[in-house]
Amino acid sequence: MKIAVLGVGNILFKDEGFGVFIVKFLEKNYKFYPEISLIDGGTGGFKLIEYFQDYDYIFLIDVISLNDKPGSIYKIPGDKLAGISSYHQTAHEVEVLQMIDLAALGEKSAKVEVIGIIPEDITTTQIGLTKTLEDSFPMVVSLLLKELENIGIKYEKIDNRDLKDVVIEFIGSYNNIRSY
Amino acid sequence: MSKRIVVDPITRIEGHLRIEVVVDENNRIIDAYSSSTMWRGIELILKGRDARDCGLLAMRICGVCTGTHYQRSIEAVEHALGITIPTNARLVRNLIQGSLYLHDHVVHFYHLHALDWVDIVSALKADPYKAAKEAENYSENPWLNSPNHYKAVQQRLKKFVEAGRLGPFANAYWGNKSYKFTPEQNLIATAHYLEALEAQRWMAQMMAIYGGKNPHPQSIVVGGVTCVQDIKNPARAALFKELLLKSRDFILRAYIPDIIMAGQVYKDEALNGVGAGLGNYLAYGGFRLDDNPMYKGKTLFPSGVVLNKDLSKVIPLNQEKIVEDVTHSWYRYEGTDKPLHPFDGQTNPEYTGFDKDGLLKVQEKYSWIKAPIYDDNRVEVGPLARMIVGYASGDERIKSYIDKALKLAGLPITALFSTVGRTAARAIETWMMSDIMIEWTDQLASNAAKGNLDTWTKFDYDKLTKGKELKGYGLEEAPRGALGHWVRIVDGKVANYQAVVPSTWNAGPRDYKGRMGAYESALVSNTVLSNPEQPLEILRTVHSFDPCIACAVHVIDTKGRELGEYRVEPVGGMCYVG
Repeated sequence: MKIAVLGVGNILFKDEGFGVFIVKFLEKNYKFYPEISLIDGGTGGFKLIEYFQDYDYIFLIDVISLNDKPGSIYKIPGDKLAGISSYHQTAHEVEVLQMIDLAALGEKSAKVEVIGIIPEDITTTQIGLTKTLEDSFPMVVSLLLKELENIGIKYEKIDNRDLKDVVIEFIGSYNNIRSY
Repeated sequence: MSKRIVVDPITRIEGHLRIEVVVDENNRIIDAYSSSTMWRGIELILKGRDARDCGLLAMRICGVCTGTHYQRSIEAVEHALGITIPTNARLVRNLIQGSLYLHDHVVHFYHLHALDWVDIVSALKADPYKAAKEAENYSENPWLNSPNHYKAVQQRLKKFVEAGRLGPFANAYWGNKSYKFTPEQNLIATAHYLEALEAQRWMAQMMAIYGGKNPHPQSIVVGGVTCVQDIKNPARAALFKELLLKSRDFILRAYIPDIIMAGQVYKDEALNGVGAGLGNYLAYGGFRLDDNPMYKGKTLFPSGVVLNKDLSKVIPLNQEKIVEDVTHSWYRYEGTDKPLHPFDGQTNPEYTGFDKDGLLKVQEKYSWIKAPIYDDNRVEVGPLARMIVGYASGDERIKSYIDKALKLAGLPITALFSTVGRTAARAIETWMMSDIMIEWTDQLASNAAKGNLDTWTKFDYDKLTKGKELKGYGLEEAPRGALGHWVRIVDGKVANYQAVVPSTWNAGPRDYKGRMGAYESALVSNTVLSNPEQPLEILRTVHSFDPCIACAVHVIDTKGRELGEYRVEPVGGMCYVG
């Protein structure tokens, strides 16, 4: 079974980077058996559809818009979100949900589990999470590890890097801290 | 009585394109306004960084065009430093960018635009035998053309309908009078829609061979490319070529025939200039064909400007004549009210909101996009601009593809000045790209076979930048149109950075003289809505530009669905491992 953790979002806008940071954090701190793919899906776009076509199981990590307080975490089966996106409501590039719908039209597509978090700030131009999402970060990590265990993936902790460290190594800055 | 129709796909306040049109009593569009978020803050993130790192951050602006922002950013820095990349690097970059063209254009036509032309529900009524005959009118060897195949497609569609899993086919405007294909033609295009889901994977794989993984490529660096192992390995080159030939096959036997079919069926719209727009076209030019220094050699797409649809004259491009105006944009300039060149660009937000009825304040500021102006002209960019500028320049290659396509559709060159023409131009250049990429692939393989593995031009960054102020720009043709990145480097660090993306040119609002942007102008070009409750013609024209507005921010939007049952409560056992 091909399994992926796909983190999406725009790292240039505070909490929008959440999904990508989760992936980078797992990459640095854990090893998985059998191996799984940790994918930095970035700003998404249509090019992610190949993952929904190629994999059997995808954990999609993203910020979600729901009427709840920032930092709240949701685990939503992908098919519960099916049909929300509709072609004619948008005049632009497809979004993540539309891609899941499109992939489902093909012969084979991944089972998708969305792990979403409600963001606090996705408009300020800065790389780094708000305090609220930093506080929820470890819980999403442990939730994800547990989900992976449930489908037979074992993991080993290989390092103890913190979020700030991981992001700075990845892209050079985290909130007000810069490596240059 | 005129009335205002709002096409507002806003799912959140940020990030989306909003179109407001005014129609008269006959539902003819008499006025149009385009408003959107286009995030302009990349300079905040890049200021102070090492200029060699710009590419990795600039590609995060957009999820669709990651690779193209990445390349433009790196080229802006190469231009500032005066670096010319080796032949192999040029070929690899052309191949990565060319694969992006094939992928973007095929996906755009089938998955983002086709449902503006194709009525899926009507396809269920088609006679599969007649469909197989019909397809032969547009291709000598149509893609997967057999009654049984079309029957299978209909079965598949029915299954989606019965399971209530219409996905992208839900909530469309089926049965609208401006859908003109017969049921059989709809079935052919619908079959290709589904098959393109598979075909696009080949093009995505091509991008990944020399670019590294999608969506964020990583093999391009200031001075060249790093994928020398992939160039050296004949198996990688062979795989690339195999995927290219398969993709080309789909393009020639499905995409082009479908466009010819659309050109014939929607002939009147094309000839009547529905959606024609500004009639001014700009191309930066792109895809270097020789190893001369940047902007001094021959390119696949010539640069230049054509005004008032006058194909007898091409004005040479001068990037100094590009300015951005903010009269109707939610920004203010400090110290001047004149439009500014990107090197001097400013990004000071001044949001003034909507009027009391929730409509755009069209007399004042109404968009987050600036209004770019070239030498005091509003212009359109994109595939149509490239084809028009190439044609008017007398470029033999471009002319031959345009002439072949027009002949097949039985249309004159003037038919290109329309929404149909804009959509066709994208297909025509895809055809040309899929051919020339074979040449580039063979050149690269032949260089490698001769032992030429040179992929990087050596340079001493500190020596080139220490104590100096350098300026450079990366101007190229992204799939959606002219894309420019401008960088100013002081002492090796980024001092200012501006990107003007294709959709800024096309989706921009009115300027200081009240002149429309490209979308706005196209929407008021001879367009009548067949049903004002269903803005199909508006979407058709806006989609024909392949808008890329929403990329900057996106959140999974649950559209008010009750999902409380899926909330994860912070309880024991959830504690942080480690």
